[in-house]
Amino acid sequence: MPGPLFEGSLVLAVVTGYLLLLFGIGYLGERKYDALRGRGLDRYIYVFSAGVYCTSWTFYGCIGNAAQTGPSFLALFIGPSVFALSWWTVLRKMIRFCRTHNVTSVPDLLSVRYGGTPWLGALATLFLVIGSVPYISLQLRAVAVSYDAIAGSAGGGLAAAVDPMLPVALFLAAFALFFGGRYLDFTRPQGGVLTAVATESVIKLVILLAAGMFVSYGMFGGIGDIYSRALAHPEWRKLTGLSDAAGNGYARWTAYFAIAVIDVFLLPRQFHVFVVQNGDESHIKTAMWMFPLYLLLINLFILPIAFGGLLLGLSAASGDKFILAIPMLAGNRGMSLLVFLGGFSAATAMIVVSSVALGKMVANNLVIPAILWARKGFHAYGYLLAATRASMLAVILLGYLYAREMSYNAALMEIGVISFVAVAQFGPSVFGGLYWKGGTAGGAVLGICAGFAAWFYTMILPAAVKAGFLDPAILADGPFGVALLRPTDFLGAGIGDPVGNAVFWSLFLNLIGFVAGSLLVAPRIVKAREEGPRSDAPWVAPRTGTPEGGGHYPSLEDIEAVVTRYAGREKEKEVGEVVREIREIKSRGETREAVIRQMELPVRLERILTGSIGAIAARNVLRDMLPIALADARTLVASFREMEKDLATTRETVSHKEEEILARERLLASVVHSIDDGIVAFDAKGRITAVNEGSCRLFRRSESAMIGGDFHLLIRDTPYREKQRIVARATYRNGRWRGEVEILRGDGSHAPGLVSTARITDKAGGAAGFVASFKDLTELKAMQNKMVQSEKLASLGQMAAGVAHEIRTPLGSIKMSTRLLGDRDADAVEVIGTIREAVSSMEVIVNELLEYTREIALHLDEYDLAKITRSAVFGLEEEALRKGVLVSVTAPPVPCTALVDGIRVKQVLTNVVKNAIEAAPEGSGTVHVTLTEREGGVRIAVEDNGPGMSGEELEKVFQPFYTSKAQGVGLGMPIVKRLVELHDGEVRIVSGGGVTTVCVDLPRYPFAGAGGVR
Amino acid sequence: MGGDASLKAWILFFLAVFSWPFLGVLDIPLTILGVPTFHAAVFLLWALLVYALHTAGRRARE
Repeated sequence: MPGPLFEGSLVLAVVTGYLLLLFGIGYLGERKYDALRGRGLDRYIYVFSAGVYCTSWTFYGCIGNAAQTGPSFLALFIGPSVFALSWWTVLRKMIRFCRTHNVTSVPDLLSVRYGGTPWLGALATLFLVIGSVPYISLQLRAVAVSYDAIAGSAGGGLAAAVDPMLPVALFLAAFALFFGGRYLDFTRPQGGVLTAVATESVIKLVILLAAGMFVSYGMFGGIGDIYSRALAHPEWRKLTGLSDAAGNGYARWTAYFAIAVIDVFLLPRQFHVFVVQNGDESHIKTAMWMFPLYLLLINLFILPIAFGGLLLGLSAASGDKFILAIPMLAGNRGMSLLVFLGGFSAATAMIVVSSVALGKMVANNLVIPAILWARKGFHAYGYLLAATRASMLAVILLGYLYAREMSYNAALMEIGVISFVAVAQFGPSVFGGLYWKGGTAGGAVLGICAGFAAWFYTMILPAAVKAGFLDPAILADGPFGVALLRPTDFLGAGIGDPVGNAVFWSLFLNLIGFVAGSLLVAPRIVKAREEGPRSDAPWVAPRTGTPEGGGHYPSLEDIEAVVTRYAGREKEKEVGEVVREIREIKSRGETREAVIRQMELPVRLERILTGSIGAIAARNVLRDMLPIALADARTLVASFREMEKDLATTRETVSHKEEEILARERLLASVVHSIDDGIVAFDAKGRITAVNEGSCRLFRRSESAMIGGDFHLLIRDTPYREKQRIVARATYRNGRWRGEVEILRGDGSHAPGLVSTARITDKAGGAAGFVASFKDLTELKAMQNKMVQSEKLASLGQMAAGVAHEIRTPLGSIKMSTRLLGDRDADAVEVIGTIREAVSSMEVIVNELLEYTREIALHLDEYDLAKITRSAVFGLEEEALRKGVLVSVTAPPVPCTALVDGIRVKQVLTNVVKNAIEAAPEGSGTVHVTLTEREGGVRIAVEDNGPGMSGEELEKVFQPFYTSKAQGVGLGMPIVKRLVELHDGEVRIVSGGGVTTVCVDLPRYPFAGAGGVR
Repeated sequence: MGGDASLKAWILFFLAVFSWPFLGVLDIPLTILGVPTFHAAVFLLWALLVYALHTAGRRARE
């Protein structure tokens, strides 16, 4: 170890400056805590103040442990990290329980949960103090050791005469009293303590990281360099893992893991910060990842520093001082002082929070009940507050005395582990009490006692032997030479590691004791009334003149006065409200309600008082103070009888209603799940929390792929800000948003969609998110397009029909006039013939136009389609012959009867066959018409060997006025399509391979039940 | 798999990962970028755990 670098007085001056700064931060934190909370910073203060888990034990002790036994200490930090996954459930449950009952410590929790016996809380407090005081002394000792290292034991000047632990202890006591002992009510937020401790957590983390960087990159060539050099030494190689038999192995790893999972909540300082001072449950969500991240970062350089120290020739036995010794060896005064301050901040934070938490625990469970029991007149609030402050001071001074007088020079880690295992003994009764209804006070007492007995036997005895207080033969051969009783290998379990052995046996016996005690020892019903007034009950002046009131029946004023006397002005308002409420009910003449409220009074007042003076004292104060007057008792009995009757009826009604509600819920759920629209629920941040089956179909994503995803996942091509605006509007404003969006599917495709949102509120009416209904508009859009197209065509048709109608009359006149002219003038016959041909052709166009646009009424009857086909073909035979096209018809031998309009079907077939003849090549063309019966109908296929049709032609052939012929209006095929569709049929054209086929499918019985005319 | 079930599965997974015999598998005399496998793996898994915790915290429902 290098020599001191600083004068003691200089270090003391720096320490004083640091403590004053800390005091300033605490002061500001106390005054500005509401402002910090308003900015949402209390969330981070909560998380960082939980960093008090890492004390000087982490800062110094873990490095010493790593230098001697390797990485097993990491389990103390990884254990809580793994179980942080359950904090949202477990920690929240604990916080809710404690908030409901105003619980401020583990003993209070046990007292409230198990009730009945005041001894449980006192016993728990005693054990916790026994387990925790060495830990506080460890911090003070770490301060002293680091001070000695940096300034030397004879620091010179004034500092030489002062034990550095004393002023530090006194200052921290003052700090704890000023910020932690300000009020009797511990459920109030302690902004000063929390802010100061959170600041210290940041300071120690930054300094530890800086020291790690200094060692790794200032003293060596990086972490890899440190490890490669360390691995060259066979004796240090074993420190890189757990498998070496000489190390602590997996037994210790598992033991550390188990106790850390429990202690991260139950160490007094952790319980105070994590549970009692939790201001908002949502902070747990931040703590559950940020706290493990904090633990990871603070441990990042522990192993490199440990190996660095060994490589620099420092002794593994002085590993606790490596972090300080290395910069001192390098002569770096700045880094040395910084590291000293880092360790100092780690120690002071722990001392402050632990003394506050333990002091309050001692006051609530030992001192105040003792004062009340002794009835020395110390009833007043001021005395109780003074007793609480004195307890805090006593805890720190006890730690100081322990540190000063401790002759056993144990390593920091060793003392810490002993405390850790002690605190873990509350695990079974606390968690068992929260999760197992069968747990009883008897079980808790038995479990805790068994656990502590095992802890004492397997941890304290070996420590005493090590310190030279006991004969080493106890460890080697067992007490009285019975090997099976060896404390470090109890019952020859062969666990190997002494810590693993202690953790296993203490927790195992504790658990057995808890379960067995709970099952076997029936809870005792305390018959306080029969025992007569307790000596600690407050004296209430007898009331006179109250009919049937009883000699010691206190008025509401008495109750208010007495409770305020214990809880002080801190609770005056709260107590006043409870009393005023009852008074108002009484004044309204609601006797029954008033009596019931009065019966609730002890419970409500106990809750109020528990936060201030603890569960034991609160119960004792109220036990004899609130008897009930005879008249009130009669009212109460009558009320209970009525209530019993009401309950029987109500129970039946409730059960019926419950069934109804459940049925409605099931119905609603099945409706939501079965509808085609996508129903998606979002939280306030726009994250998906629930979806229905319709959503999975619509978005083509699985439920698991959608849950937890963003609102942005479902919508395409909308700017991010716009999406955020939709989320904000749907959640926080009026909750309604409706608009068209482009739905984005899981396979990358998209579709037009309509979104409607509705706000979801929580119990308090606050914004909890929104539910959105997504509708696929693909079909609707297609239909709209079709309708627009149809409307356009309809108006065009109307116009064409009008024009045709108007042209038809003058055409008739022209035709007539040309005939008259032909009769008169023989020379003009040729010209007039040309005019008449043109007029006839115009007439055809006009007629077709009128045919297409006019309403068509079908006259359905049973016809043989084969006959109609042959008739149509027969009508075109002359034209076919003229062109040299061979037309053939194939039809089944039996009649193909169908309900059709024979004239219209013939018109269809004439049109189709005529087109085929026109398309077929002249001289070698063939047209083949085939009739086949199909299920429910008949297919007439007209096949020609013409030039065929291109894809574009096939697409447009049914559009009006489209034609590929030199002469033609382009209405033939649209009329065919219209007529076939009027028959509920279908017409298709297939072209390819030199053959074009027009298929006309007609149903045998169209429009069943629709009548004969359409 | 529902939220609670997946959370339990994650706890069991990390519990298994940070216990013997899985840790023993990583306890081998090899290094990753100069860092012993055991140390490197423990910190990497720890970082993965923090990521899982962050996700679990985000998804935690009332």
